[in-house]
Amino acid sequence: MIPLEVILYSVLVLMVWSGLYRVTWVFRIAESLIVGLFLGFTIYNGIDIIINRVWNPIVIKGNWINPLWFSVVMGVITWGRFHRSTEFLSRWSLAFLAAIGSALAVSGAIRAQIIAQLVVQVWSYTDLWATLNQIIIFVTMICVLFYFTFSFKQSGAKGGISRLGRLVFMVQLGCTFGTMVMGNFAIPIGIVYELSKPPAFYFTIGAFLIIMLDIILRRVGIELKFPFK
Amino acid sequence: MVEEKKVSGEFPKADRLIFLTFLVLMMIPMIFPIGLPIPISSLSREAFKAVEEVPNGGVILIEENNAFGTLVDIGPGESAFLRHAFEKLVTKDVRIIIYSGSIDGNQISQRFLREYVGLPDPFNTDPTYGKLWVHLGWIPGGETIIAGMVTNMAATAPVDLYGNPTVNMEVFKYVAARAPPIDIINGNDINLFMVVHNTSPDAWIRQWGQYGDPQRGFPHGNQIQIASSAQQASAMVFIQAGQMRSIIGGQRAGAEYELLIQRPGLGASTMDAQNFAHIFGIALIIGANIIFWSQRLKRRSEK
Amino acid sequence: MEIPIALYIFFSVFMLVRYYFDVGKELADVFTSGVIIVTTFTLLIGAYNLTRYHVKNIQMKRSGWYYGLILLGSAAGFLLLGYTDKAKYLWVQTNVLTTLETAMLSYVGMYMFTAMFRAARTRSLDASVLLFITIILMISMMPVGSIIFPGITPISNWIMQVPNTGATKAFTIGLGLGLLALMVRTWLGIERAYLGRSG
Repeated sequence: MIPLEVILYSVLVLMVWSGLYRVTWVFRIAESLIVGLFLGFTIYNGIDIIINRVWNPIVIKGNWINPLWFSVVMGVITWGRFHRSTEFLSRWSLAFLAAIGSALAVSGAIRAQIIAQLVVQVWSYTDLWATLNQIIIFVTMICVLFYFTFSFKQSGAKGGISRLGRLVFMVQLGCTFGTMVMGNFAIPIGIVYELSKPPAFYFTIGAFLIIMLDIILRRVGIELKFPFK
Repeated sequence: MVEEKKVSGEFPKADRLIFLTFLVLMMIPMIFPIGLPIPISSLSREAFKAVEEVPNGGVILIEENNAFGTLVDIGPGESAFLRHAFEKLVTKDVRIIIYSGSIDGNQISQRFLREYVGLPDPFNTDPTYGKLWVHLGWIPGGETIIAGMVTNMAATAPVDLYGNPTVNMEVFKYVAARAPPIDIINGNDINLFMVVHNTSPDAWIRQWGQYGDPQRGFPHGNQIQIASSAQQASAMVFIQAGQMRSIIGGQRAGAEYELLIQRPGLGASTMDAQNFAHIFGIALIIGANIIFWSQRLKRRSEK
Repeated sequence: MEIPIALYIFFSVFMLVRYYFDVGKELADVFTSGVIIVTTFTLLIGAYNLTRYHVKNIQMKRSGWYYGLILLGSAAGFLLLGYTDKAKYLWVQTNVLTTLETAMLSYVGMYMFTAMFRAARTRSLDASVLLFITIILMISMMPVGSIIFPGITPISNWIMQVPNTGATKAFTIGLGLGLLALMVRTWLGIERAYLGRSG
């Protein structure tokens, strides 16, 4: 007896991957299902947070005089965006969110993203290779900053530095792309890992056979019609 | 390249052939495993060393910000790290505080704790829960929460996963007392920070990068991140600046970590397929360029 | 329009003062935990908007309205399950939602191959440099890469640790300066995008 989990896994994955061959109602159903389930998931977890962090401390525990009311009011007024007369209220809570987020980001950014990046880590008079590397890092950093500064015309010497900056930028993009591919390969590999083991493997064979059948039927001019597009 | 007639809802034939070739190539090492060697990189060794160096009675803070979609990519590293960290709970009396910054991360962390660490469900039936470790559940709010956890953890996470108040928990009292102020948990109480995420490393560097383990030579940034392999390139600058200790980037690094803790799992078993996939990708790039340049030279010679 | 800007200035300056001068900790904690609750409310707004869109589609029987039925039906069913049978809810989450999400992401990841085949062309010096570095990094990321080409690891490590670090430092500094500039622009009322369309 094939476990239900295996059947479900195989069928759902193959429904989504059918889109690689042709986008049909099979793919569209899987697409709608994932959005729907995620919608339910988000609502469930959102309500859970409000119950745990607002309802329980205020109502169940009876702490009616509570700084949480500030958050509750801020949260409720975001719903003001649904009516023209109360739309202005939702901007107040957006301003609150943006303010807290950006203040925290900026306070960390000055130290971690600006000052720390300008400090030379290793400056050794004995290890010339490490020192040379630090010089190259510093020079490439300046070149890329030049490339991305559009306040002045990039011609002459500035243009040359900017050109070098662009090449270094290409190196960085190459590094990102080269390392990114592993992540993109990992996900289908993980799925293939499951689909290549019996009993899921039988569903994989079934899917291949269905595709072969569709190719043959279309070659002879027969198109299978379904009520859904 | 000759442009093919576009049919609505269908990829061009060349693309479909590429997908089919990829899928078949991936199946071959799965059905007939080869067992190619997996050399271990310095980054994975450094991450392993960071956990090994957590002192007796030390504290590890873990944020789970993973997503279901990247489970296969980041999961091997995450599961191996959790196993390693929870071993220290027993052998070194370490304390662990876990929370999630994403809804998915909350579910994934609980699943991994049950499946890989072997904790009971629900966690509060485990005798060490609340005393040696705690799961604070999902706390939305992005960078604000990352900052809040290292300025005043009890205020940011007043309840745990089950709705129990955290301020009276034995583990919270122990951690708070480690560094002044003794009644508040902040970054100075934490020995090792770990975050699992599928975005960029910046937010945790900004908020956690100032906390470290000065006694062990890491005045700041005793932080490990487990992320996608793409983040390795952007993480190098923070590792060089001493703001982060290491990154376990992607499936390969996860496989390496599994080998380091001597528990090979999903990561290690998929490395043969990764080898094939990379060779296929490189062959596609080189092949496409050969076709491109041969057509270009042919057009030039015809002119 | 001035009230939201005033609120932005007040809250952001307060948090900066708290960070640099260590005053107002209790109030800062209230604001920080307030973000969690407000964020949750905004998440629920998104959920409501999506539901409203699909209900309208179904009512007006627009093209593909039946998929909207599947969407809303699965959402309602999943939500109901969460409050009636937690074990089945977790089962559906593990076996259906996780599976679909992984499959969808892998579907998008497959585009990587078509990109390699169609877009990766050495048309110029910049593209050639990018592709050359990509291939070196891909070889080094392969577990057997360092075994087939023993010298690849030190070369790729040097590329990642030196020129890549230099470029990433520039981005990181730019990002930090950009955050600072964005905050100042918001204080001055020049930047209003965060307030939405009518901002």
